Amino acid sequence: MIQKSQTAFKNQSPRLSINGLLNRTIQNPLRLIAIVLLVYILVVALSRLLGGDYRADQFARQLIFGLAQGSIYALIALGYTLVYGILLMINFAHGEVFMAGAYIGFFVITALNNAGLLVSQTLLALLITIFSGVIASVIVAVALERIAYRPLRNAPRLVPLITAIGASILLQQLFLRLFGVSTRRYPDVNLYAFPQLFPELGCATINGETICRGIDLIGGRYDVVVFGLQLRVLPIHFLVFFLALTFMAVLWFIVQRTRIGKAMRAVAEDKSTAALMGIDVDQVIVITFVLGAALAGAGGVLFALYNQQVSPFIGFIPGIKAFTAAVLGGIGNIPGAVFGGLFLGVVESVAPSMLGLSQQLKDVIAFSMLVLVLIFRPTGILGEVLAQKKA
Amino acid sequence: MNVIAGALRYGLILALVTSVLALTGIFTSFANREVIDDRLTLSAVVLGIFLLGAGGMAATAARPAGRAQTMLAGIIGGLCVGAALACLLILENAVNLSFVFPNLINPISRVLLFGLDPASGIALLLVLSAGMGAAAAGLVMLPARLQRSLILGALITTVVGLLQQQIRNVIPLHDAAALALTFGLGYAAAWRWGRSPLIKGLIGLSVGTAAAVIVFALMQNSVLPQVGAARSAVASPSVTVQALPVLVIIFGITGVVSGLITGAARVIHNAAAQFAVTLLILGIANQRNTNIMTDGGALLTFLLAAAGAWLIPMGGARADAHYQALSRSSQRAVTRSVFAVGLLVLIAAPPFMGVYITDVLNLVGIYIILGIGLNVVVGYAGLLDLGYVAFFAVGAYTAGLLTTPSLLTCGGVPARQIQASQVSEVCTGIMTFWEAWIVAIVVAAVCGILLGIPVLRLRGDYFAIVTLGFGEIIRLLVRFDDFKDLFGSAQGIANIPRPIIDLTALRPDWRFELTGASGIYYLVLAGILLAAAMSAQLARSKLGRSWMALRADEDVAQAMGINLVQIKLTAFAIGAAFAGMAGAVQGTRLFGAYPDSYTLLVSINVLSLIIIGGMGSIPGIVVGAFVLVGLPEALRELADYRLLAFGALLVTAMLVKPDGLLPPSVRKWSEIAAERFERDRKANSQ
Amino acid sequence: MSLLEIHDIHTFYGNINALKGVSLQVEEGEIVTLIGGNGAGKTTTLNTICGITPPRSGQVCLNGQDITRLPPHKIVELGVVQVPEGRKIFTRLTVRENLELGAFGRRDKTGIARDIQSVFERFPRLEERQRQLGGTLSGGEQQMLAIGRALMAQPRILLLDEPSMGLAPLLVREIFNVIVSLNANSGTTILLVEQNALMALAVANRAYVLQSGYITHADSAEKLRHDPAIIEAYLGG
Repeated sequence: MIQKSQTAFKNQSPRLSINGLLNRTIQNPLRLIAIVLLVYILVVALSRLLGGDYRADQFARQLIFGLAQGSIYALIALGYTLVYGILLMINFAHGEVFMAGAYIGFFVITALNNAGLLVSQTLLALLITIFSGVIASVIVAVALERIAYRPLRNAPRLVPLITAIGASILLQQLFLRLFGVSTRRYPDVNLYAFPQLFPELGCATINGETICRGIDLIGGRYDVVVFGLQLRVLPIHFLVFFLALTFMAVLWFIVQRTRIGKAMRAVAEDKSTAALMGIDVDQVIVITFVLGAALAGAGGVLFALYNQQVSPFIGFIPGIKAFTAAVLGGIGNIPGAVFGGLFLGVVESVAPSMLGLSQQLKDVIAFSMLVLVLIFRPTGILGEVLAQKKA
Repeated sequence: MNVIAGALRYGLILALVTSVLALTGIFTSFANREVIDDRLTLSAVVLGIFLLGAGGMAATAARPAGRAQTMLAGIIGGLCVGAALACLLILENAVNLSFVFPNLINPISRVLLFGLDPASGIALLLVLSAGMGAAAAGLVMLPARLQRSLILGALITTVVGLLQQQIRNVIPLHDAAALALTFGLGYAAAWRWGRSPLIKGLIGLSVGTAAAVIVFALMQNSVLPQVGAARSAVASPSVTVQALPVLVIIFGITGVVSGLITGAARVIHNAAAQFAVTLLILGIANQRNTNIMTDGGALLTFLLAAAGAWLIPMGGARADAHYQALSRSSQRAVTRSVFAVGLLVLIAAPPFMGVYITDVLNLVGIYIILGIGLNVVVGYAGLLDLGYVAFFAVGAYTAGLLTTPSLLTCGGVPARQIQASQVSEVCTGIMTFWEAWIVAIVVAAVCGILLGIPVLRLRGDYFAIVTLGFGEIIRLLVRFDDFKDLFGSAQGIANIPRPIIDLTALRPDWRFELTGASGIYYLVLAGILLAAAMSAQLARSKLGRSWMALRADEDVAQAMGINLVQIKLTAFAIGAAFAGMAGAVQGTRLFGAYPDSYTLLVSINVLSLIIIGGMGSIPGIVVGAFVLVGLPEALRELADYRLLAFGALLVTAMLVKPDGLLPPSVRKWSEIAAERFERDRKANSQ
Repeated sequence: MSLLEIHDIHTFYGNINALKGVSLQVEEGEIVTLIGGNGAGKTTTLNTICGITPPRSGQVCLNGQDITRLPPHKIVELGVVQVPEGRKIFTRLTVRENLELGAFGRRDKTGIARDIQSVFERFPRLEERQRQLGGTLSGGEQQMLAIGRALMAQPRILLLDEPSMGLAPLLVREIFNVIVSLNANSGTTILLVEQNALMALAVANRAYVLQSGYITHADSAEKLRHDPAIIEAYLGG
């Protein structure tokens, strides 16, 4: 179905003339509705801003939180986009891969806490936790690929989707039955760093003695004034953002510069020709799953560190939102997934207050974005990067 | 050595599965549920299933290697599972794992050591595992038909044992026995002497009448009531009523059916025969003092079920042969007569089944309607709709809004601002259920069109996700607090009334309210018949054929001149209408519309029905609904594991039967297309 | 013992029988061509040899070793390399990356670098465009890239699937010159699948004719060139 899957070439230079836009709008009533909607939203937002219902410090706070949340979405979205790019299937159970990392991370961090390591060697303990989250997610993802997806490589497209849905339910329930119904809670973590950087925050004077431990990267909450705005800043949001960006950069490097990354791109474009190059296609597919799962697992632990609560169901909604993000950015497109995740995180965080809607509607906003992007621009904002055909 | 490797492979896989399940606490929570009184608990059954499964799979793989190897493989398979469990028990004893696995607070060793000390318990476990493995191997070496009968017999006995409490009041043993005997005799006689359907029917009728007379005579001479008194069976209306004419009718019809099915289509024959066996099993279950199946009951049930599984298919083949030899009109006559009787049985059933079972059947029925509707969308038009529950919700909420005091019916005034006394004058918009039902169907169809227009051009998996998104959006919106005035937020809309059949214009006392489970039952039954009839009609129509072309190959269909968007939209709207119909019924069944009943899981449930039972066929949907909705509802203690089993079922179904989504007719179509393509290719290359 | 021998191959697509008992051999150092019309099964034959569509029955042997059921990447390792129909170069990777990918199974960095150089020597235009994306090349350049890519795998036998397809006559001549020189100068054994029977029979030593999954003729290229039936069917006579 060549006309249905549009390759990156078609989207590389969108025509941006006003006349062209106008012409196409009139021809397509749906587009008209979309533009009206967009204008309406802008008007509401502006009026609230000018009317003082929505303040700059609210915006700053929500922006920071949105970026942190968005980077988690981006980490998960990368898994979706990698798998879709190479197999043309939606790994519906990827949200549970994310959850597995967070959940197993809980057991590890609790054990480390009980052994006292969390306090004495915080950084090491955290690294071990993230690592075990990664391992757990990878195991789940590889099991999924081998058991549920590989036998269905050549089945009609909808069959693996249904399998994935079944696997998603299975994993959720398995964790629920095995590990219990009560929500688990990550312990409070304190990681002190940069003692010289923020002396007014990181130092405390006790009995006349000034001790500078630095700011608490994980558990800290600081009230600061930036650019005249009163903000409550949580360093962990910044930490999550930068760590996530680092992981994504590593992925980008692997895909663009290494031999295996080349193989991944080749397999993603044309499987059988890649096989003719001597590439073990099955192995490359497994590696793709592993990379996506590693990012999701790390994301899971990071998510749990600032959210602190884990349950078997924490994967479902972030999973769908991450998929939305992947599609927003253009599925198959790695920078697109990153962009989509951050975009969705920020919009989801900022929009309810900006538009005067209830916080209850956060999820509605995300789902609506999913629906809207799939209807109006299914190739995503940055364009799809897909194989020409499935086999 | 290959045999051992193979056996180990299967054994270890199942050992892993069993251990994981053990860690979920399945053995401890099922230990209290008895299947056979004092003899077999559900926990033992589960253990048995896994041991037999492991042994069976290993043995099957080793079958070509000969008897001894098969037996060896079976034993190894069973031992793997046993050993894994033994390790688990030892581990549990040594280390406290209940922080990670909270269910281990009830230690597994309490159950799996059979009450003995660790050493003997584990030894017994291992011996048992080996033994079960060997038994499985033995089973594998039996002829296939015998295998099937034994396995089915065991399964049915287990299910009956679990349902014992619910089914014991359906029909007393003497009634069931009388009916079954009549059925059997009529069947045998028609088999032996019946030449044509008419003769078969007459033979059956005579047998039935004779039976009625005999029963009547027995009752007059107090033989039967004695039997009845001795067992003192508790039952809903007993079939063996006093009046002779009634007896003649009941037994006569039974006889006629038993005669006719000896020359009916295979499906009909099998269904009727299975019903007769079920009736007898229900009779056996009818025991006086206990809620749990007894030894004797279990044995009888097993023998009956196994015999049925063995004999019925044989009879079905023969009956089908006779059926095919008939003329079209005769075939139709036979099928219709049996259907008519079947319908009568369905209509007469509620008083026998009792409130609990009737209510379960109501839910099953609603899901059947949903399944028929989604089948139009997925099965006929090939569109994977994951947001089907949205239309279900629309139906329920529409019905709710129109039949209760609400923003719509009270002229724009929120319901909670109106006093009870003012309701009748302010809320003039309140409709009867029937009116609301029609509006609900129409509104749902319109929603289907509206939702369909923007999304129908998307490719398959994107379409599925968008519909999922829509479903979730609708659920979140009706739950939204700011819409409380209209939708009632988390509390939903309450006090939806039951339908009232108001024929007072004809006769003053003809006013029936469909109360109770049985009221809903008839409503659901009517809905199913309507839906099934419409669906069958659609499949045969021109629209149905264009859907078939669409499914087989979209591009070819378009080239043939079919307007793809139009037929997809029609399918979508029709499916939505069915869901709306079901939704309104659900609304009145639950006396309200509550947002948390309309989750993604419902959509997935309905989809699974179609896949697992269905392949697009209506009998399949019925079976699917019973298995996926009815069983879990009836077996409450399995509720914890229901979703887990569900997910596993979806995955395995796709692995085992990946083209289960394609109805057989579509497969033939694509083969025809392929052959045509081959021919063209050859012609071009010459 | 032939370098490559396929024996009584039956390959199916689903239930459609594409190859019905195909047998052929290729000796070391030869150019053998397989000609036939559209849909005869030529590409299927190559895909069967390379392990992409394994046959239901029959054997594929490389120097006597049975490679019928090996996975594709192992077959490439053994030196059976295909230049697929339609070039199938990776449009989203650069020219250089395409060539590097051709050597995917190899580990010797210096050897790979040296071979890339020799490919550039043979096809100077590729060197000019080495950092451009594959999708920006013209048809003829893509064909050269595809051949170069295959050469990177150090093939013992090179399978070419319709190299002339979609190319202008001048380019076709150029490509066939490359094929001849590969065989003559480097001694590469070649199995050439072609619809352009004229050119194929001109360069090949021996030829097979494939029709609807059957081999109908097998002879030296010289003889088939003068065979009236062949002339009529395939050589525009």
